[in-house]
Amino acid sequence: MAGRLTSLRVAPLHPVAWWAWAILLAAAAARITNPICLGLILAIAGWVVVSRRPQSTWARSYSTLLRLGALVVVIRVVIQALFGQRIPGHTLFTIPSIALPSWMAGVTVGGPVTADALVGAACQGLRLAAILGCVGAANALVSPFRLLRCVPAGLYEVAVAVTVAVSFTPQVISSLGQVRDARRLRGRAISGLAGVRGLAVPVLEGALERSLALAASMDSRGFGRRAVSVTRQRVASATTLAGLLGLAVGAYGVLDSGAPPALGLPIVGTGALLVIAGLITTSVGGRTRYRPDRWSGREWCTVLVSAAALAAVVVVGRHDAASLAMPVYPLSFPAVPPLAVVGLLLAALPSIVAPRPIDTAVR
Amino acid sequence: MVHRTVVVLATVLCTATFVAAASDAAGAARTRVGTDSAHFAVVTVHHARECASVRKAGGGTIVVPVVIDLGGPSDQANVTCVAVPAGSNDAQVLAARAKLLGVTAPRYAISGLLCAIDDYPATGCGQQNGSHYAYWAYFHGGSSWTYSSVGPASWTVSAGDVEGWRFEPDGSATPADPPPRSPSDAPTLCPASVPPTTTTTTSPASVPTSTATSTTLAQSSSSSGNHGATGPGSAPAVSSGPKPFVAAPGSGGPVTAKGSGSAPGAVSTTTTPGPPGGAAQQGAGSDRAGHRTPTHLASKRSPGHGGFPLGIIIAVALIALFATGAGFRTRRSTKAD
Repeated sequence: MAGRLTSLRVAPLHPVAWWAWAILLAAAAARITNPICLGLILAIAGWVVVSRRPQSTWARSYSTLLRLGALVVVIRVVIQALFGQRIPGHTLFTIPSIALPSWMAGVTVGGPVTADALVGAACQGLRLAAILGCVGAANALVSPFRLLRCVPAGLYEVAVAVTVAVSFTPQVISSLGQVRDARRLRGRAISGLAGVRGLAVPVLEGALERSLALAASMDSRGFGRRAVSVTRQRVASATTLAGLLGLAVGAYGVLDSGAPPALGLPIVGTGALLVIAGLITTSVGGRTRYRPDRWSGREWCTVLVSAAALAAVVVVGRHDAASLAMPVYPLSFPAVPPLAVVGLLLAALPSIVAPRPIDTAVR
Repeated sequence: MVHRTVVVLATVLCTATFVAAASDAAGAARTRVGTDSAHFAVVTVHHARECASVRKAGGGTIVVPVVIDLGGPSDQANVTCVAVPAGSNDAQVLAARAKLLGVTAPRYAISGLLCAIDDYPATGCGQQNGSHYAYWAYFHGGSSWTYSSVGPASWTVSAGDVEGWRFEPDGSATPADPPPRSPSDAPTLCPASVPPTTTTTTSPASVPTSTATSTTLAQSSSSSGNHGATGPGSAPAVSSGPKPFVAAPGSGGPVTAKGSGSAPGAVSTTTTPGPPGGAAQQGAGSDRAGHRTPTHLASKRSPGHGGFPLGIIIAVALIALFATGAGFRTRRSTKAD
């Protein structure tokens, strides 16, 4: 009993649980422009990553994605200063403006730059950065290859393509480190314009080559080959495809408020049922797994706390949407919705509940 | 390099935010302009300084009539003639109007959507109920009202333009939404020949009658400065221009009626409201926020909105806690490597 508990304790968390946690948190971040709540989401995601990430190549990609988020904020603010719409506020300085023809009505070039507009743009950029941070957290906590092992048999071809795409970013980052070291050894520039020019091609080429090699090796090992009859396979593929189409159409119907109600949840439900049916058909083929990841109470806990955070944000959005937004015109301090803050704090629970990664646990 | 830029930019933005928010909080008290179901009223607060600057404005300034219709069944459209530099956009026109009348500036959402004019509605911004929205609809005047396809910050006003806004409590956000209940052409609303004035008029539903009345009243009181007898539907006149001045909605704030100056076009502030006006204002004035907000619009204002409450300090402390914890852990794990 003690042995089983120990092994359960160090077995890493199910990859789907980590991704569900990250995606639900990103969905909560997408509804907020309040910089305090967004800062809290970023801080919580960072805390969970630093507590529970394994020591591996892809785990170090988190800081890069954070820097990408900072760049997104800077770009958004610069674009707002140059091209944003001019609403009167506290003017900081004025950029010489160019009068545009009336058919370009939505664009303004130059004009007075107000603190309100810059702060609003920074908050919108921060929202993007928070979403990037959540996705980066999932990337850092879970190896994409472990995620691939959990994918049902019916989606293997799609999953291989997705794995290659998902592993592209960490490959780029590790490739970046190697190319930079090689250039430094040769005495070539590694920073500034000359450095970037010399880095770009080798890095991208190397990452693409590695991803393709990964796909080829997976294919040559029979990854995704199924022991079912051709007819069954075709029926299952058709059902899965129809189900995915239904999910896409139903998602549009749910998100668009003007669509007829029959286009929303009923079609999502039908699509989900079709997808599940298609996947089950191909799974019943005698495929076994080596050491499958188990789904236990810890996984439920991880997913449910993140779902609770999203639910808290949605509830606050229904009752008091102004507290989730940054008041920009006129500029004033943002409100702090207590329910949303408590819900988001709950999402930090996986830093305790999830097991420590094995290499750090041994130390 | 990115780090340094980000730090500098963040410092600049935070300083700007604090300065701006502090100056907002310490701003002068503003007068609310509200409506009530009585026929008309009194009001408009003018500051002599602003009138003087408007008067002095020379070439390159255009007079734009701004029509605001609150959308209620018993509301009347409210017209203000605002003088702005040529080439301003409608957001600047609305801000100039608010400054002129001494009311709160319009409130916008972070996306640029206009939420409230004259602080109506007090909370909420384009609230959606099913497929209907409670929002401010933007129209352009001229020979008739046209539903605008761009927002206020994207529309450049030119001479002869009329800006119309109507609040739709149950609108469909399409050109089918009803336009403001007032005439739509500039000469009827604000004769451009008059040097920039700051009179306001209300135009009840029967357009021809009101114009006739106003013209008559204007002619009859061209030399005196009394706020004439006011029966329902008529308006006290000012001698400063051919426009009758009526007005807007009583409220609880200080109210100044405009008297007539000795010279045409001169506008001065006096503090002698006519009796009917005063009575109407005192008797029927009700705070717009309390009286007007339909139930589905009224939402609880979050505590500490606009202030600097304990909540922000606690939240920032939490963020700092997580960030420093993560920083320590990272340093410890890299040291152990």
